[in-house]
Amino acid sequence: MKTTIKFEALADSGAPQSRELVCSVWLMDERNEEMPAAEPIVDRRPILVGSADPQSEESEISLPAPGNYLVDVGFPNGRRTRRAVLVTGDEPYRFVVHESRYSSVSTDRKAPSFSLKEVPRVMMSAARSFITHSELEVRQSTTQYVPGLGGLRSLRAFAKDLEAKSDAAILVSRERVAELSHTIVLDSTPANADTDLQSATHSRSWLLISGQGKDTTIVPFPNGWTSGTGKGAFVLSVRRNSTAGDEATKWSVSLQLSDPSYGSMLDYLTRRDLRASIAVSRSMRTTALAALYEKMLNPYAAAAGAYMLAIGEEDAHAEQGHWMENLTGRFPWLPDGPIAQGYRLLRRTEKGTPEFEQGRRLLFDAIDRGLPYLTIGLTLLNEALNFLVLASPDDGDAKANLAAAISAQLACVRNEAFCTLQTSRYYRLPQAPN
Amino acid sequence: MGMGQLTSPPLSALKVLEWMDRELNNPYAPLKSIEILISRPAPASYTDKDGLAAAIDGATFANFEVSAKAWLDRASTDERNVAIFYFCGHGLGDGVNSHLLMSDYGSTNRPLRHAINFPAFRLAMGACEATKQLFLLDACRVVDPTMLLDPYNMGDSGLPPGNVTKMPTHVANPVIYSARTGEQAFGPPGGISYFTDALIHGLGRCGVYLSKGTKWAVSPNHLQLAIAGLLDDFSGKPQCPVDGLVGTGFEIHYLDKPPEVVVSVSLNPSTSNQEATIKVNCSGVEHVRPNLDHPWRTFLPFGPCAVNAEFPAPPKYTAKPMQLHLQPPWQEIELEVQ
Repeated sequence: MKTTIKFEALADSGAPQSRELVCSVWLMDERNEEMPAAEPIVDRRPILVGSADPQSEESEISLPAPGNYLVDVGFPNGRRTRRAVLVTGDEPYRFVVHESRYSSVSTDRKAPSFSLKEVPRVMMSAARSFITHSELEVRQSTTQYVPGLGGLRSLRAFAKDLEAKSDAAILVSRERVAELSHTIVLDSTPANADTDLQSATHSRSWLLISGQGKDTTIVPFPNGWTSGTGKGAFVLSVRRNSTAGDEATKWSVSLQLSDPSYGSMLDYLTRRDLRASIAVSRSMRTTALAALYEKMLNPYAAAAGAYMLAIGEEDAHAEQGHWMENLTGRFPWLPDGPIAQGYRLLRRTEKGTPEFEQGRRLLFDAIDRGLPYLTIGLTLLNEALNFLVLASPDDGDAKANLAAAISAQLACVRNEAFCTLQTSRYYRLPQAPN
Repeated sequence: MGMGQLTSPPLSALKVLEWMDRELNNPYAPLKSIEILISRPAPASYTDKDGLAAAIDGATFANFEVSAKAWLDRASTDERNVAIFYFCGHGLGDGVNSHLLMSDYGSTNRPLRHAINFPAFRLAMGACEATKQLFLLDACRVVDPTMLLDPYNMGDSGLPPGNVTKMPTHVANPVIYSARTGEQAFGPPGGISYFTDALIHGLGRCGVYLSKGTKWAVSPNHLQLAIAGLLDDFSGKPQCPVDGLVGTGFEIHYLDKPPEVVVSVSLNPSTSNQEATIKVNCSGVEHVRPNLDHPWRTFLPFGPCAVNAEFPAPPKYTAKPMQLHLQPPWQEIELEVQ
């Protein structure tokens, strides 16, 4: 019998969300009290939990011998658990993690919901109950990329236009929801990398989520992110604080990848936990998926990789630098490419060099391309523009671009992996002075 | 601007000052010096461990500019110096970007004129020669930033502009925050804040690792783990957000005694809690849960221990005793009960 720790996830109801956790293990040898502080015997190993059919290598850790071990598990939402466990050689140690501790979506996400098909339309006489059944609407809109339009400096007009034209957008879901939280599974439409994604006039997709037509949240939707048919590629979770009054229409929105590997990697990356992001990126599942994405030219997954490269300390190989250039050049509508490339350049140069100027131009290009897909992109864009303004206090363009990026950042939900723009917050912000 | 004087920050700042003055021990950092500003109705003063008394200036933005520059210049005298920035008071922000309000915040029609633009401040600290920097922000984030922040008028770093020519990639500069996004940082009226209390415990007792296998040292990473363990409200939400933690960090302070461990002991199932007497035996010394707190959070000595729960006769439950080795900074123990 092998000495192993077997990781399992538990949920209050239904199947738990599948995610990759990052685990380290230290040997706790009582004969040498200082041993536990030495290097871990397992260092940041990705562990898959919540999967319906996990391979044993994905959800188990083999140990050298029975004994006391300290197990540290980092979760994608920023929490961690750290337990001392006694592992025998008789049977695997079951390390159970509750979904509510590692998941970044609400714990009651599986609450049953009503749809218009199930609930009879409310008559006037039932107006009181109508108030408590807020209509949740999700639409998907597309906008053709036109250089100079839809940039962060004109995001207000762009967002208002999107909202105004939302009636013409595809209705993904309209439900009368009685609960505080609700979940919608979204499909991704496979795209042709050559004729669509690399086209200069590519149409970006946007999700517009609103409650009774109010308090719209806009999410740039990475449509085409799929490793197969795209069926159920995303999960959109919404929740609110109350079912009555003003709060009833204020839905907090969370768009998540169903795929546990990239979903976890994006969560770690959003919190700038680079070591966990790298660990997950090297897991069996992620490596296999990355190869598939590369073959399919998935620019969104490539953007996630580019951000890891941008904030990492390692010097990129020439090939990787070239690859980042390609991401910027081949996908002219994708803001995340120039953000990652520009940030990386600025981190490795100083004021007065040609690279500094190139980095500045790339960030300005990103501003013109509009709201990035990934929140980490918005964070890095702000940080880099802040640096440009500090380095060159008289750079008016940098100041204006920084203000535009700050506005977007203030109105976006910081801990979501995908940029999630709350328009009610955004419209309250002061506009650019004349 | 509708933000009144808080009673906790002056006391918290004095507590940190006292700890830094009397306890901070880092023989590998050449310089130890403290720059402090405190605002409260009556001016603050402090008598240091050598008996020297000094009045403390108020935390106005003008005073901050002078103090920050002096602090940066002194820290820049040697790259081995460790620069520690601590702020306790009103803040605006969302957990990552913060604006730290000075006592004269709101005294002009450009409110952020008297607030520290923290992201800019941290970037501007890239001009400092000290390659180890730690930022500790004990401030609320409950205020909706869109109500008060003007993206076109975001305030200053407080440090001289123009010195920044490179992004601070050559320095380790993690930030540890007290509050989660959109939430308050709490402190009892007339007492030090919970974050600062946890910070002091983390620095002096448990936020450590065995540096180079020989000395117990506080690092930003282990300090964050300790604070998060102490502030955990067991709601499942992450505590003590951080930014910029990489590797094992760097040494802030060396302990001159064995460390302790923050331990959270819980029973599974928790329905057995009401009748349980939880006991931990550490090297012959018994520690007993004094109340029915569940989980029970306490400090225990580093090293081996035995954990058990006893139930009154006739016992409805039986716990499975555990032999463990407690390791700082923080550990969860779950006792299986049948």
